[in-house]
Amino acid sequence: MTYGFEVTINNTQVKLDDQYRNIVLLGKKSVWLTTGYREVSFSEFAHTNMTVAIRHLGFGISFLGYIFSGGRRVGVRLYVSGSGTANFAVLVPFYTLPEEGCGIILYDENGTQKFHSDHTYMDVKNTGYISSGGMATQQDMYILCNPQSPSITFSSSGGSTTYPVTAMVPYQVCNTAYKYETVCSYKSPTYQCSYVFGQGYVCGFSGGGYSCESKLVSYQSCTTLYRMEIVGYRTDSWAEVRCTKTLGLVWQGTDGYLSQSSVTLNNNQVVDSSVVYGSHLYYQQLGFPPPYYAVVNTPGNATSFSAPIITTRAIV
Amino acid sequence: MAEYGFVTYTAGGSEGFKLSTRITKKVLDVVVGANDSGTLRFDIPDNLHVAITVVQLDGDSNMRHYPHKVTFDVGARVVSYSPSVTYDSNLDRFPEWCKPARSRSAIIIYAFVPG
Repeated sequence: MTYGFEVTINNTQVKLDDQYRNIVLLGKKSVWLTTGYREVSFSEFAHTNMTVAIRHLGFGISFLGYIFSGGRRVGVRLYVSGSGTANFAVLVPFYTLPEEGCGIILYDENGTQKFHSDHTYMDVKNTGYISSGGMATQQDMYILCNPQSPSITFSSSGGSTTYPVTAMVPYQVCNTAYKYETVCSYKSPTYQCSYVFGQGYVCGFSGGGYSCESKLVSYQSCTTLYRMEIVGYRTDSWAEVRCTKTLGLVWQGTDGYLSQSSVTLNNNQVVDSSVVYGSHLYYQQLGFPPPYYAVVNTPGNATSFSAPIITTRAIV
Repeated sequence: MAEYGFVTYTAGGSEGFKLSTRITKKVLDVVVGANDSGTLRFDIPDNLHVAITVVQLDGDSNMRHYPHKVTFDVGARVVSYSPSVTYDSNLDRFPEWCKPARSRSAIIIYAFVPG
């Protein structure tokens, strides 16, 4: 059984009943933020079903999610581009307020409070996508849904270079030179006999001996020299993977106008590399397929990543 | 602009609750594990429009976490979710800042009066 009442707005019946959890404001917080990764604590509002809406006039924010601790949401993670005061509205499902003398309070059959007019109720103002253009809102609008995830892409490349290998190589240079040399020859003495009257034959050696002379002779004069020569060829190969990380941002102008921008945090930065000397093993060395590799699944239509921006009514 | 609905006033005489615009109802707010996938059914109050958002619950200063990829069928009132990061051993030796990581996610569906 449903208890409550309903109002027709724009031909739609709005029930203030006990069936659904109407979202109400739990608290507000303003924080001065500057460029960079930031964590904003809402520990004072820690809640299982906390929803945070943000207003950031004049600068950009990438909402990176909640800080989740002990089953409760206790803060938010942001990347801030620019600086300024961010206004946060912490929204939670309906909770009981004390009974007071004014307004309307609705109870269910068990006596549980389901509606209290002293609450500030969340009111969706507009929904839309800013990916294909801007979105006009007012200065007092908070952004409820700003789904952003980083884009992390990788590219791999590699190549090889072949070049000659040189070394000092010995060689000889020879010339024909001339010089005088003393050439000696030996002539053996001759044995001769002659008849000498009264003595008969007399024999003996005579003559012979060494005789030398100076001659001009040629010879080879050689010198060992060294010179650089190509002794072979070497192929060195290399491979590397580079990563680029980009964050999407929602920029809220000072007039409340929402537009999309982005910031590249790490541009084409080398995250892995390898050099192999004397082989052709590039690409295989890193095991990373060439020439381009994106890790993150590209979201299709109607996925969370392409959820619309939701703005809420000013919460004052 | 026509006035409709009702207004309440506080004891001081200032305007309190004013039902001339819209009230937003949260019809689903579920936390799913980083490696979980599955489907969820939700109900929508009469004639209200819905908006879905998926918010990551894990993260660090490296800003490399991803919430679930969620598809939804408003007609059937079903959302399907699965991790949006596929493990790839090629990434193991890379520095942490460029390793995509899975996150627990809060899948939230709002119902509101169309403008």
